[in-house]
Amino acid sequence: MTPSPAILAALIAALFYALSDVCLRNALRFATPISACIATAAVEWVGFTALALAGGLFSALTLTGFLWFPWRVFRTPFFF
Amino acid sequence: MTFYLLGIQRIGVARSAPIKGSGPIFATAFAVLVMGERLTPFQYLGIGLVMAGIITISAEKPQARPAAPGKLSAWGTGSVFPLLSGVSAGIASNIFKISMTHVPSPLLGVWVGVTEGLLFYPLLAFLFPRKNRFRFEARRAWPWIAPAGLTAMVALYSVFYAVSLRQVPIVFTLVQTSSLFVILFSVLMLRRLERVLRRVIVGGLLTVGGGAWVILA
Repeated sequence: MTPSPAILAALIAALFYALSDVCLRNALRFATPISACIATAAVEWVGFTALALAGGLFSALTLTGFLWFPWRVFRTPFFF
Repeated sequence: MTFYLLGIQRIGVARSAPIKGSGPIFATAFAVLVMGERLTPFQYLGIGLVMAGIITISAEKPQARPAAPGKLSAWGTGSVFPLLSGVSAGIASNIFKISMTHVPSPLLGVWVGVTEGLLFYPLLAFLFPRKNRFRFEARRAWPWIAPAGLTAMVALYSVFYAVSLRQVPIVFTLVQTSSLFVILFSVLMLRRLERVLRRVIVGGLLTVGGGAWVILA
């Protein structure tokens, strides 16, 4: 059975993804899709970097962990 | 994300989001083809519902869509972009779970993903024609980009957190309900930019419902 925190987190994600999509829809009147991607990723990077620094998480990052994610990025341009 | 935004640019967010919501059937197809899983008759029915939803939205008359004139010719109806995004989301849901076993916390997983995306997107720009690369009217775009980034942060972290608790297929299916929220917000907040017809709502319900059926049946 799926734990209720996972269900709640998934529904919160759905709600906030929708809000993000609506904002991006408006932003695309003033930016190309790739520019919007870069700018949005930059905002996210600043936010997550601040949170990770505050939580002291970077010391736990391993090379293996970092390298697994290029897989995810690799398929990004072609499919996502 | 790039293809999804191309889809939004061409056919609007209310139509792109439900088509992207077909991700669960591609996750299932990936599991069948790569991992040798078998489908039940109910799951085939769910796939049929998703396909019906995509066709319902894609078969809409071009005049009803918000895309700029002339932008539909190169890639047919423009629906191919969010569909590719759905394919990606389906495959990614399987890779996501493996990735998460190699990072010690969801927050660190999100940071790695965003960092690598940020490094990669500028290179991706060179696949586009020069005039479609880096146009960015900062003063008018940032008021939308900043909240888009912040809300995407909350969403991304929630997904990673949910995935870290296991049950990836169910989590990804629930996340796809975002397309129904998108349709609702489009009706409430994007009236000037998009017309949400009844067939878009029906298509969204079929796509999300069919995806849920495939995963949960």
